[in-house]
Amino acid sequence: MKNRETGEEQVAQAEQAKKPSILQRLKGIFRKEGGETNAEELTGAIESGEVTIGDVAESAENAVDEQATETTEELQGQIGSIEKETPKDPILEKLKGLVAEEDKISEEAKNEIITSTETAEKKYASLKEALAELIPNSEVMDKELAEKWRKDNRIPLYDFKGGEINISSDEISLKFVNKEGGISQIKINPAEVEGLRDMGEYGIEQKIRAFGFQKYNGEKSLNGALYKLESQKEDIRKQNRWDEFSKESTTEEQAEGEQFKDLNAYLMATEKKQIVPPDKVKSCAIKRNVMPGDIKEKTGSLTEEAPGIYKLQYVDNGGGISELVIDSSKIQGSDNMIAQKMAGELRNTLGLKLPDGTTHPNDKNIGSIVAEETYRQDKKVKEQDNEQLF
Amino acid sequence: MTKNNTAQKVKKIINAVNSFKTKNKDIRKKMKSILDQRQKRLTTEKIEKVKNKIKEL
Repeated sequence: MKNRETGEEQVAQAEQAKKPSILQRLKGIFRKEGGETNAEELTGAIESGEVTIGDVAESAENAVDEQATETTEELQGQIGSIEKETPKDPILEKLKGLVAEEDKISEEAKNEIITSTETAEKKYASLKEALAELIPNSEVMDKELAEKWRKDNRIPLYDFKGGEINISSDEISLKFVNKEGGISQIKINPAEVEGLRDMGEYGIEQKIRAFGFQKYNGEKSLNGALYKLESQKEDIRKQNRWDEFSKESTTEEQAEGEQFKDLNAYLMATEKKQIVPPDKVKSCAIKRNVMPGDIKEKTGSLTEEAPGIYKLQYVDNGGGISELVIDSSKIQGSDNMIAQKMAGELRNTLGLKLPDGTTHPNDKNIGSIVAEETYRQDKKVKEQDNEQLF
Repeated sequence: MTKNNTAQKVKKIINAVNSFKTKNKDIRKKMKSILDQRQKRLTTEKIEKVKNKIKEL
């Protein structure tokens, strides 16, 4: 910070060196009994700048987490040993109920801690609005640029306000999905905002969460949380897709499908799968504007590479691009059955459609290709037989 | 942040932690009581079995 003199810098360094021990002490305060007697001491430490309210809240949250984990682990241990000894023991349900209760009380305590650190920010409807008032040099990204950033970073347009925070000593940069669904970027110079400078990343994140950002599954980074949420949504979509397929298919197909519920496993088992190297997957995904989450299920292209050789490229269950090369000359008899079943699996599970729902220009029904090819092969064999006969 | 404001926030945080500690203790007590009951039940069952065997003899 440019306003600091040499003396001030030394004081700041000394303060910084003191901080770990104070944080250590904070941990002890929340762990031991009778922590309430330390309220005055903590207030004094915050007032003198030794620690921030964010540090205090973080230590409190950690103390809650640690104690909750201890109790939960003990409960789980008891449940495990009782399940081994007497699996139908009615007290198992009671103990499981206590695990849920422990989870609930720790969440409640943490929420209480978080809301305790929130202040008047609550009056603002959105982060943008609040920061625009709090921070004079905030700026909103150009709409086109924002959309490009969203796509480049594969941030889905979900209805919750998520984003990314980058904090350095002289700038805090926030990128987030705003209320209108676009991406806004705000740059903050901590030196210009009273109090913000000393809040630290945790403190700032708390402030931001007060405006509507959310944390999921204990993810520390909001960006990480976005991806986690996306992956959870994809799992649900995958399950729904499977449920739909199961409803439409016969018992026999279902039994076959249950064995290879994951298409990748199915293709691996039939030894017909080639996985594209990761760097190619990435470039292929970018080229096709493939966004994980919203296209996986219905995308693919089918091209005839050489006479009788078909190449199918599709977004696999793992989110990568897989290639499947089908040599129709090898499709006969039972192999033909496998290929047809595989085709059915591909049609039902993946489909062969583009992200906008239209059919790819080169897209053909793989089943009919197989049938045509088989017919062509059979005809050839019959003609050869006839030639030999006559 | 004014001093009063800070003190209030700190108090709220401490209260939240203390309230959690009390509830956590309750849960541990419940767990202990459930396990004790089970132990008693198992012991009674064992005694009953031994009694029955003695009767058979």
